[in-house]
Amino acid sequence: MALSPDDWSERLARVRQHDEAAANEMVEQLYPLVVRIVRAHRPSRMPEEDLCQEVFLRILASLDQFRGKVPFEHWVSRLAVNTCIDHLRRQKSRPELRWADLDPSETGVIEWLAAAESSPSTESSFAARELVDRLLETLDPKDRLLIRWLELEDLTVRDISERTGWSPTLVKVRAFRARHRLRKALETLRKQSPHES
Amino acid sequence: MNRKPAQRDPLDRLLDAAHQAPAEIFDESVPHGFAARVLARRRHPDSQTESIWMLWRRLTTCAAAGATGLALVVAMLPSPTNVSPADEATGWEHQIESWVFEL
Repeated sequence: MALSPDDWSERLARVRQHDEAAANEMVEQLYPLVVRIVRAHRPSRMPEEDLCQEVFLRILASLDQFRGKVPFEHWVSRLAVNTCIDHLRRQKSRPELRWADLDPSETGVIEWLAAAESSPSTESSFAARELVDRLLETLDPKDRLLIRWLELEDLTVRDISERTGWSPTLVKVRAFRARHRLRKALETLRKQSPHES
Repeated sequence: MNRKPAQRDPLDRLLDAAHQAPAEIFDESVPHGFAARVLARRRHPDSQTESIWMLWRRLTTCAAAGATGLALVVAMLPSPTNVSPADEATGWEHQIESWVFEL
């Protein structure tokens, strides 16, 4: 159950005074929010628990900087997102995805894109999701986050603005550029298809 | 604007298709001992504890991945999951370190 700002304020005051029980409750309360962000945006080689722990350590270390100007959950989301971005940046190589790297279900999606079929089967939609994930891995971490939130998780520009602290205009501009880069990556892949004429 | 699917932007079609994939159902329950591990790391923010922590994580990961012999040894290691104030007083991280060096 979500806590009210007053409840958070009271609990955070206890955490700041090194009340272990309050800190424990805070971690347990926020875990679902943090793990959702971490699962969607962690580098593939980084264990989920390690990244979740790091997010919570950052929360605890910077708790004094929380001024209550935004809901506490938004502040936590921003910290979680920034922690993921930091780790994604460290994973420097973002190799271009090539046709030869695709598995048969993913090449099937590229072929489906060229055909006139109206809607994908459930199987194709899973393969499309995997292909999108792989294409996103070739993008900058911020581009990756934006596309995932806007196109796959149905977040609004306002939601993203609250989650990241970026202005709505910045979100729109970045999203526009991110889509352009993703389109370019997809086009490069489609041109490599043996069926592309 | 309603366009035939094949005439629509391929990226839009790909994203629409990906969006239709049923969402994976994830377990969001807190792993056993998670908060204790976070708070233990908070109490010991020095780099030595951090490096031992990472070593312990790697060992347990390898053990979970099927290294049976290692699993037996790791099972004997004191886990940071159950760190108590008494363990801290005796220096649980040094205990782990000594076990690791004996491997």
